[in-house]
Amino acid sequence: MTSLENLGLALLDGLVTGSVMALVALGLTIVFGIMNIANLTHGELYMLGAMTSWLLFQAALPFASALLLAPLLTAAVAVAINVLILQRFGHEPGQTILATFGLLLILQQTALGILGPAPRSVPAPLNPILEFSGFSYSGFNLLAGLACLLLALLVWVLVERSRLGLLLRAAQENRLMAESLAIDTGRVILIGFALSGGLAGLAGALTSPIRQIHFLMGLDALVVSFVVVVLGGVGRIGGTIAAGLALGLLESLTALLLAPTLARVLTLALALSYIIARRLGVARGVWRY
Amino acid sequence: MRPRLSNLAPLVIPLLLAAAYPLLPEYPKALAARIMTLSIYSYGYAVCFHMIGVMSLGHAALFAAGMYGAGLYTIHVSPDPLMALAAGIASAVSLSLLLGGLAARVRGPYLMIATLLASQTIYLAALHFNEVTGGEQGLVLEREATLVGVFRPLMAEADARYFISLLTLSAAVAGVSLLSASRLGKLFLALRDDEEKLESLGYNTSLLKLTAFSVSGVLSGASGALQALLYSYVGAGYVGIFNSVEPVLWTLVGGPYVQVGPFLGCLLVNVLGDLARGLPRGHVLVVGVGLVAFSFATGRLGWVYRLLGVSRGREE
Amino acid sequence: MKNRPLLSARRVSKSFGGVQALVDASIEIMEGEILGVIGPNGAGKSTLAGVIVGSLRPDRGQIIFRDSDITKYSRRRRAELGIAHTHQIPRVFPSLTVRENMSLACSRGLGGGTEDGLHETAERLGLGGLLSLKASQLSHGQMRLLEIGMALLSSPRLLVMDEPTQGLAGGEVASLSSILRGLAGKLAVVLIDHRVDFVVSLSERVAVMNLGRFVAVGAARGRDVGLAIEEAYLRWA
Repeated sequence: MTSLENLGLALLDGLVTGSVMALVALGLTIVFGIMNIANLTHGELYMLGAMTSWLLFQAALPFASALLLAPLLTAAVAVAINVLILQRFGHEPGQTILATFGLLLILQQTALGILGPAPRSVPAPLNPILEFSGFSYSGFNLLAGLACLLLALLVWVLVERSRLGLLLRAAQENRLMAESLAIDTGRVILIGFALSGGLAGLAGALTSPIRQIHFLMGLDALVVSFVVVVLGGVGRIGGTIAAGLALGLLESLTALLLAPTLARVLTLALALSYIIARRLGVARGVWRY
Repeated sequence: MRPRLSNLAPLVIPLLLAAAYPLLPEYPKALAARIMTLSIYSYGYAVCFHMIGVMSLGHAALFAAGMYGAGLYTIHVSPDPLMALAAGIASAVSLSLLLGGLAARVRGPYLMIATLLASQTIYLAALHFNEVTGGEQGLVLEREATLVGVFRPLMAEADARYFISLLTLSAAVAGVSLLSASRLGKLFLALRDDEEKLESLGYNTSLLKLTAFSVSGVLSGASGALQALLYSYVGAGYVGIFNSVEPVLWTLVGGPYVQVGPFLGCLLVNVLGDLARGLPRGHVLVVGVGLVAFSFATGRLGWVYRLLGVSRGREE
Repeated sequence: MKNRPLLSARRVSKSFGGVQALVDASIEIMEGEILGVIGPNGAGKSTLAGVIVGSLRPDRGQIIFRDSDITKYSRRRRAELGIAHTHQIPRVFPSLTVRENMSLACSRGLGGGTEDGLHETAERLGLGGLLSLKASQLSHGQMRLLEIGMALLSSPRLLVMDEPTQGLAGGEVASLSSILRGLAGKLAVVLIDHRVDFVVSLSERVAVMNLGRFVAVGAARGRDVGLAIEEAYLRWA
């Protein structure tokens, strides 16, 4: 292939990867960005979605069933984590990180028990090959990417245009005030967790035919999601989608020149520099040197 | 606030371990040596977590810096174990200044996430530069070039591991005990209690954090370097997030006393993990369940509550 | 020595969200004087304390300390210049003993330095018998006294006290009064409190704040101040 064709492939790949990143990170934006609850199991929910897809494939059920059941399962897991554990101590940051890190390890172990140590795969339900001038591209990849992007945009509209976005923010910003306004914050947080978990699981199922399904895959998803959430401007849904797409393109284009692992190292370094420069977590309007 | 001799009471732990040596059968002896090496890392972690109240999720990077520093020095520079130990500690301290700088500028959950990202960066870098680091497979050092090799004419490998870890652990216990009784130790506690108040008394809190992180780097790096020099192996398997979160549990399980807790917690968790070794990665499961249990226990354990910064409700 | 201002705030404004906490507020504090600041809740008293000690950044205006502009100085640099602060809810280090708390305030060095004034200050504040107690074991009033002791041991030129009588019992207020009287002339104090009689009895000059502005500044028992107090409290009581 010529370098121009490589570029075309990289662009397409970047957009697909970026759309997936955006959808997974969107779930984290809702729980962490907006509600300020650092849920470290988010990547594992993505992994659970992919694993569910593999289990259903083993049971000879159609791919469409995975798209329905995986998000239901992961939403239920997310809600259970919230109700059984995080809610008990009022989502205090330190305790939340401790508990969700523990759960991350437990979910990994569960997946190891089910999937075994080797990577698994699921065949694509349909796979038209798209011919471009000089190179071809998997039609399913493109379809999955588009679906992720559309879903992300849909959630954006849903959250920003409905009362839900307002409620999610209110639940975080001032629990007492929200409660005095007769907003049931517990229920709002529950909806946030269900939505967040469902999105992660759906993304996992959608991309299960184009990714290797492995019990450790969640960590990478978590790390990338945090990078996307932070670079998109914490709590901003549009920003998260844009950052996801930009990061996907950036990584796929740098991968033309550098090894993918090195591209990821540079991405992480970029995110860290941004966190340091913005001094995240330090209150505004107060002098700090 | 001057260090007194009575501050060295925690040295009773290494003394007990020395006394236990002739009584231990072979397997527990090897396990004890391993736990002692890791306890030094546990003390290093506690300097940040217990003393200044910063929960880092990236300390595996410091352990790894010590391990790679010592291992690569041995392979590429000279097979001198003491210089390799120094090289390991030096590289861990340099990296700890980076993490400490992060802690000085970023707070709350963002700090934990930032440290997690930092250590993941190091992990991926170790994987990428596998020609140097050996990647996931790791590198095996020549026995003759390691501490175990140097002591071979005098004692068996297992004994050398036991005594060298014991010696280093004793130094770590003494160092941390004296530190916690010193004025610097009190400043660390004050920083943990109320950073803003300490600033308004005119103290440079960023510098204090950097100091705590570099002390932590010395201990974590020494532990990593001993891993390389006693077990003749370095590998990216020690750099993952699991190795960052394990010391969190060790220091929590160990209890509120920073002089003895890091060892006791490391001992208990590792013995439990060893009992679970029948399960695939049973050790990981033990740590996972332990972390969840502790997140609940904070309601009953006041000091955990304070460490996690839950009680820091402020007027401003 | 009392003829030049130690600190002046010049047309300082600060708002939180849409709420204007300080509006073009200007005030001068002379060397060695006790300046009382009173006003109803929400008048901007604590915000004033914040912009003086450096915990809050003013949106507009300047803070001048001994002829240099310290508006952009951090808390730490202001502390080094001799600006100390006691908080509305006392802030001490609960994990440390009373002696350790005071010792950290005495000198900023790692070595510890002199602790000359430590015992004397502790005695004067009635904390002499409590030196080896953990600060977390103190009563609210004792914590307040400890925080004041720490502020005094840092040898300040200016002490900003935000609501020092809050949560104190009658007897404790009386002993606080005598401690503050003992400071007269030695350092400048900005005494912010909602107890009008307490402030008026201790201060040479009183500034009355309302809605983020100084509505009157004058001699503590002067007519202007009296009227301003009456108006501010009548309208908002």
